Amino acid sequence: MIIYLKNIWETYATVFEGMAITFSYLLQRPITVQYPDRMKESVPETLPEKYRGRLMVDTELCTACGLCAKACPIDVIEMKGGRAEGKKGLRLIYFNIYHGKCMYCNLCVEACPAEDGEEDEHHTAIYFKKNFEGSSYTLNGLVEQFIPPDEARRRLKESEEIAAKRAAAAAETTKNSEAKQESDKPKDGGDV
Amino acid sequence: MNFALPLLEKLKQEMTSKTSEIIQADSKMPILKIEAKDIREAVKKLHDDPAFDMKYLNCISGLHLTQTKEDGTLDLLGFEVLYVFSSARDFSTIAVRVDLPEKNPAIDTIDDLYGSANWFEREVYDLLGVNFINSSDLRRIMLPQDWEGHPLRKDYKEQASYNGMPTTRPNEMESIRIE
Amino acid sequence: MITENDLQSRVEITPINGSEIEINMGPHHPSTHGVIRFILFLDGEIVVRAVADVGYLHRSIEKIAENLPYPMFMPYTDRVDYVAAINCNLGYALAVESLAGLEVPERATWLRMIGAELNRINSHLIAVGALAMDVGATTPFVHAIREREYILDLLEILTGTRMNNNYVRFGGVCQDVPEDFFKKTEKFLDHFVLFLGEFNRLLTTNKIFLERLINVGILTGDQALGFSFSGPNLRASGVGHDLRRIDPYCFYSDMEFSVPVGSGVKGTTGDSFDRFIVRIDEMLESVKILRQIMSKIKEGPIQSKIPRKIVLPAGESYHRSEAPRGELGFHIVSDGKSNMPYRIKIRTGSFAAMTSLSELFKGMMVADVVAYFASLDVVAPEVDR
Repeated sequence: MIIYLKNIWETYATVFEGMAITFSYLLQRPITVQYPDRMKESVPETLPEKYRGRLMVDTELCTACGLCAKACPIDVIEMKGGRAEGKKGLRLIYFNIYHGKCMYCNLCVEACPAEDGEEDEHHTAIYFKKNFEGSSYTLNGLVEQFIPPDEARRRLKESEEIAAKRAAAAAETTKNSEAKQESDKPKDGGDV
Repeated sequence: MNFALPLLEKLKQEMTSKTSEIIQADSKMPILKIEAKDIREAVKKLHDDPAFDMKYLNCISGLHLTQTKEDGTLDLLGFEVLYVFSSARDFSTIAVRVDLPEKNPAIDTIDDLYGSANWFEREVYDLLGVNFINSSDLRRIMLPQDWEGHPLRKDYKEQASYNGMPTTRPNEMESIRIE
Repeated sequence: MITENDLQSRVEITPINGSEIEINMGPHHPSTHGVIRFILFLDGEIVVRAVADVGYLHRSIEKIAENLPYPMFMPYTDRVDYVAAINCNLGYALAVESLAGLEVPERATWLRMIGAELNRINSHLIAVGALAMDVGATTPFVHAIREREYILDLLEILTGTRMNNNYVRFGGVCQDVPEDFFKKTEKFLDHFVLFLGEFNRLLTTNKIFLERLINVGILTGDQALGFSFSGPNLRASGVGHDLRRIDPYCFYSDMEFSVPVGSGVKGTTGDSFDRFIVRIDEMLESVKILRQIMSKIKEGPIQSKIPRKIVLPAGESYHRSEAPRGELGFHIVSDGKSNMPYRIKIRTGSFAAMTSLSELFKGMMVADVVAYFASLDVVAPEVDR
């Protein structure tokens, strides 16, 4: 009987203790914030410096080396570089990122050798923006093309022309220098 | 890593068949390689003998042994099942390895000795197709019961569809290719 | 009133033939956390026999590993146990490093430990919160999630992400932290100790909560060992097994912390309440470890030089570390030629905990099934991998 009453007393006492704690939160400022319209400052501003938001690429800085695409475990990045008129080295032809598959693992950013020398959040050509909002109504909408398709087609054509020209020139020189050997395999002009 | 070489040597000596050998003896994990028919004897000894007192089964793992030939094709060499046990006293750990043939790989179950062995064995059975003889409940564990093949075999080809559902998804990147 | 004897006797009720009801609990059930299915055969409210069905979250991580170079598999280890991602990263990194003989700078090791211990607290908060929610107390879960939010904020500074951090790299970690991170962590730890006191008043002393857990799902030490339990589940059964102690990695051998062991404070050793209280105690131990790390960490490099192509020597090895859900073992086999593993088998604590269910559910009430299962802290993706 005593145990029975003691159980009842303990139940009430401990439940009311819990209630008191819960009640004390009524008098405090709420911990939750209403996203996004009631925030004092926008969320990206409150994020730490190296936050991994959306994956972006600086198409000017990028040297189209392709190391990021190689480092990616799930082939999120599809890119291609090619020669351009009046530019040394490679230029991007297209650069597509499929955000729907990206798992924000940072491996591509660590692989990127193109740095602009500044110590800010995007000192590499491929970088994570702090912005994390990027929902889309279709799966297709999650594929981001950093070079617009028309421009990409133009660049592809241009690089192909240059490559063909160089291949022809290379073939010419091979023919001239080694006239006996009939090798029509052109030297690697660009890596197109 | 406290993998215990002395315990392995002791076990090797106490086995009735003298075909067992210790491999990787100088590495971090020495392994006792025994024949498939001896597994019950060895595990019983480990479990019941107070000198070992291996009441704890860490893991049963398995793998498909293959070798790539010069022309790129695979030479299928059978299966390996690895048992890792720990002592309940000082938690020193030993590993026992069994090699099985490529055709009809089968080994005696140990699930009457260890409560957890059944699930570990089911996983090996499901993913590699190793049969555990006299197992109390040998069903697939990860994959559906009517799945074809055992995925962790090196020569595994995934079925194209399962119950009318395709097993691959179209790549969204295809739709925007310019080449 | 239910006495100790009644509790024992109710296990022995035999079913009336032909009156069994088969019910499916899950795969989408609020208390199965993820997708796990139990087929329960009931006699009234008592489980006669039970079959656990897993595999709904099988993502074939082990097969993926065979087709990826070692560094590229790192993000996948996050997904083995997403609640404690850094612990899984760490386990994998340690396994490969010990095989490849890679050095890790001192500061990187400290940072790894900070990440792992923060993640451990994080994971245990989810465990105790979800346990409370499964037995009917919703408020403590919200409190636990709130604290977890602070940890996620810290992890955000440390790693750049909130979950699935992919923080550890071979031979180091992916990024250094600003100095104010330590101040923030210090502040959080002070706050967290106070919070745990409040949490205990809110939940741990609550009579109704206690009655749901005490003497439910009792596992003796031998039973727990037989079911390959590890981590807090094994310790709750009175076995002082902690790989940070037995098989120290990182700098855990220099740390002063005790290993909480279940002693049946309210009921019997190894009951669900012991599994709960061991986790609460472990969070306090993690706080202790974190404070020690914070006092010892020094400036320095965070990444050592590693070869561009990691090829492990031929052979196999089993490396284990202490994740919040118990022993996390990586069985890595290398053929000595390729930069990809020949085989990786991941042994997880949740998988081992699942093996006990069919046995233990026998004779339990359905409500106790939920309490027992929640007390095991099983995370479905870790079971299926």
